Amino acid sequence: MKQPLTGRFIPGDSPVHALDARAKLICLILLLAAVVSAGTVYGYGLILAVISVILLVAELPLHLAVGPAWRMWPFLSVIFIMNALFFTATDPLWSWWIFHISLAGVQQGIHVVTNVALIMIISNALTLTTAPLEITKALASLIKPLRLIGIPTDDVAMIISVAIRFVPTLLEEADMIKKAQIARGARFESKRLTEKAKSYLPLIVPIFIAAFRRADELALAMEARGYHGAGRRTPQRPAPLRLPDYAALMVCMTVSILQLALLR
Amino acid sequence: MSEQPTTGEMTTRLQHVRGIVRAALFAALMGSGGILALQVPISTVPFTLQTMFVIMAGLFLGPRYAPFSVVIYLTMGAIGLPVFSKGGAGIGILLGPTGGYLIGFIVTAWLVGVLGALVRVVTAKQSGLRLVGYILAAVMGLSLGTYLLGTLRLAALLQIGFLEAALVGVVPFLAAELLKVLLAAGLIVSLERRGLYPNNE
Repeated sequence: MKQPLTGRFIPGDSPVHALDARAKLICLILLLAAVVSAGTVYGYGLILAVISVILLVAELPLHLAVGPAWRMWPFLSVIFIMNALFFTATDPLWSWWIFHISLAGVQQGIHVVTNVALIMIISNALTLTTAPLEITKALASLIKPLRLIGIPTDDVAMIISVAIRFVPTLLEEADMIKKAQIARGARFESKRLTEKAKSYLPLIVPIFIAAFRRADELALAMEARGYHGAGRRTPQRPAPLRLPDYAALMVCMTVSILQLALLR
Repeated sequence: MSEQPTTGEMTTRLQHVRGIVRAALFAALMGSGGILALQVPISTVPFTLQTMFVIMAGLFLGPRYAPFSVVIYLTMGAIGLPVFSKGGAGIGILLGPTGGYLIGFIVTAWLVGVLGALVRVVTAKQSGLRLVGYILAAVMGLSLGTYLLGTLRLAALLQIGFLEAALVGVVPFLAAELLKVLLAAGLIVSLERRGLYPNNE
């Protein structure tokens, strides 16, 4: 794997793709609040409707949109069983030793599993329709208040691109040192675990030292070119939110308020 | 010529840039932990190196830049790069049942950074005592950060008790985690022996 990391983003030209990443992030938070506060069948119906509309408008293939949640099924079934068996001992339908299956427990299990699956599907829709760099910028602008407690939020976007670039470099470095050690008689291919582990140890320290030398060289080069913490960096093309962004925000706001109303 | 920085200002500036670039390096290490992971044939529990790199970041980068490197790592995952365990990605993982462990990394990195700096003050360079101190710092940082927050989150989302959540989410990993703590502390000590010193020293 010598290529840089690639994300899960699928390019497209649907209205969902075109929305501003900041608006999409806030929408995500609003919709997640709606999921967490959903308590009735109608509430879940509303959320399912919203999700289907998003997936349809964004033209996302179903296996990509639902896949990550679906792949968690072993985990989700454990959660369901734990909730169903241990939730409450009163009014059991069936009980044996410390296990009690009650209607309330089964309902609780369904509730929890649905919540987890819905959270995964909604946030997955964001990462599928938004380019990683756009989400980075949006996150950087949303976490600006953290500056007050001393976190260098302006550097975040810059440093993420540096980190992404480091991954293939590290793997290349590891490969080179591995070959150098093989030339000196190291036995990485050995079947015996202790021998294999022993041959890896002299590999790790040189990798670190080489990586740190690279990082410090990069820091020196950046400083020499005038980078000293992004400071108050202004965007090259200021992009205020547009009408569709506000519309999407309004819709999501309405959904979460409706959700609270349905709870009553 | 009006705003020529003094030599002192330039060193602190370089130190800041070096700090954030080293933080990026550790974020990349945490992210590639899944790829560089050693394959352990016997156990079914995935042996990823994330926690090891979080501890190393704490010991090496100190309390200021270590949490920053974890924030970078988590952001990389949140924006959809496959850096979480088993190539997972997306905000969903951070908000999901195991997200508490990931958020807890921030606290662990900070705490290990603070305790590690303390250990460096009270113990001599290259002594066995320093290694023991690092190990203790790592164990405390892990349990008060990653495990406490992770278990609370797991218990809250699944609506189970704290002990049950710990039984599912912590106990199966304890042996491997201890091994990673030992590895991390040993590596930092051997890097120090080769003249690679942590930040702010």
